[in-house]
Amino acid sequence: MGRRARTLKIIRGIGVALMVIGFLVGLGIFTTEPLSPAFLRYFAIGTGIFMLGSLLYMGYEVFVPEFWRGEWAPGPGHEYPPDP
Amino acid sequence: MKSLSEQREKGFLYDWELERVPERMTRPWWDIAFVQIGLFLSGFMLMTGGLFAGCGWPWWAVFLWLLIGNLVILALYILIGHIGVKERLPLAFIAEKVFGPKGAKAFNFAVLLGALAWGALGIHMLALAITDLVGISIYITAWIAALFVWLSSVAGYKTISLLSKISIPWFLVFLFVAMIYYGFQLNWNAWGLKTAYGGVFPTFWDGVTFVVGLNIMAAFLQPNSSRYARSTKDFAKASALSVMYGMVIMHFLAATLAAYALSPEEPFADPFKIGLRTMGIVGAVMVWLLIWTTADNDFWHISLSMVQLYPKIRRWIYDTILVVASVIIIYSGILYRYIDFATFLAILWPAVPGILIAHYYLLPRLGVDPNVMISRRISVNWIAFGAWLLGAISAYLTKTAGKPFPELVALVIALIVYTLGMLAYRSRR
Repeated sequence: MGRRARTLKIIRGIGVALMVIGFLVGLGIFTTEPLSPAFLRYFAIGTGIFMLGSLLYMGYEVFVPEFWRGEWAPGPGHEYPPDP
Repeated sequence: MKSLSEQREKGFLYDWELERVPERMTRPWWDIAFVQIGLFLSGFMLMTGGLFAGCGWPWWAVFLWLLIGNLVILALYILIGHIGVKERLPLAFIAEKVFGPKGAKAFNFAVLLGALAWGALGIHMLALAITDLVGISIYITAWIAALFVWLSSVAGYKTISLLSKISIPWFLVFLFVAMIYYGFQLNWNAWGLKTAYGGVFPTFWDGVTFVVGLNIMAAFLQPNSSRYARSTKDFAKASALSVMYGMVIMHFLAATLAAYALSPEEPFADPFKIGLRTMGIVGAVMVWLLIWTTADNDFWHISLSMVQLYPKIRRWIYDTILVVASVIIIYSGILYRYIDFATFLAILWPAVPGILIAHYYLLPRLGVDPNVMISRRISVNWIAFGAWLLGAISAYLTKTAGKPFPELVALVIALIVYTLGMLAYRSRR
């Protein structure tokens, strides 16, 4: 595995962790009343963390220049770009 | 002499609109699932939740409607999607093999006319939401909404997938959590209500017919995304996730949000009201994203159709023109008359999957080559148009007679007429 692939794997790992944290924060709504300030806080902060996690875990192609040149896209058998 | 696709520089904005998607550009199955979900999870999902919550039918009936109707949809998605996996081409060019190269132009023009209305409606709804929130004129917010839709559709699958990968997991997790939360708030009494915002389903099968009608139109568009799948198995997995989770579970649970947010006297299950009254400003943003991820799909599909009409212009330029055209449609004040026209046109679509299934599954088994139109240089396949017309007429008659499943009737009639017509043609030649 090339250096770039290893870096992207770390980025994806951080993404998964953020998705889990965001989800757990979102679950905080179950301890609150509907639309109370605490409800909105849990929902909004959880959303922010979760969406950032989705971007890092699933949309990691944004960190690869070849994607922006239309030369590579993540897929089965080509999850990571080769090192230049 | 180089072909048009060879002459082109294949940069970021190229969506493999003129040639087969190569193996190195295929996508994971979950990526395709998110793009599919982006197309059919819209603000309408929350509205459908309202229709189901207030229609007076118990939860198990609503669940069975969704399950039965969507099993039909899933079967169609996989059958039509397999054609895209095999051909690796957009629907616009697959249509050349069915309708003939010139016939396909008429088909693609009809797709353009029908889907542009829904794309423009999406931009209009997004613009109205901004106007309601900040009070800026719709004439300005229409351009803001158009810019967002353009950004996520300009590079075709690439940008649509990117937006989907950020927003769809959020819908699938956070919207689901909110639905469960409000289910508990209501002690799960979210179905079987009799309200003004509820739907009217006199019989059990009327409910199933409604569910089948929700997404059958999208069935024939599946090759546009399935051409990016590595295999039919991958596409089947994607469709199973998107239809069973997105269409069955999420639409079923959407009733909890509507039942909590709306009072029984409210005449209309407004998705923005439901979002705001259950999840606050983040809920309104969620509805906005739900509409956005559907509208960008509309422009992607119609821009692919336009490439077949005149292939010398790039798809992203068509996409730009179409987004601008939709703002002009909104400005001109004809949008809702245009929507009426597009709704009338909707009678045309259910027959198309029937023709595609006959062409790719039945005819090869009966000894007719699927490439016959191209190999014999036939520019218009009148048999396909005849089957399409008869399918559309049968859908219209079934609908006006109040019988169930007009879409499936159209599909089956078109399938039979097309198969018999092509067999007669083969024996004559």
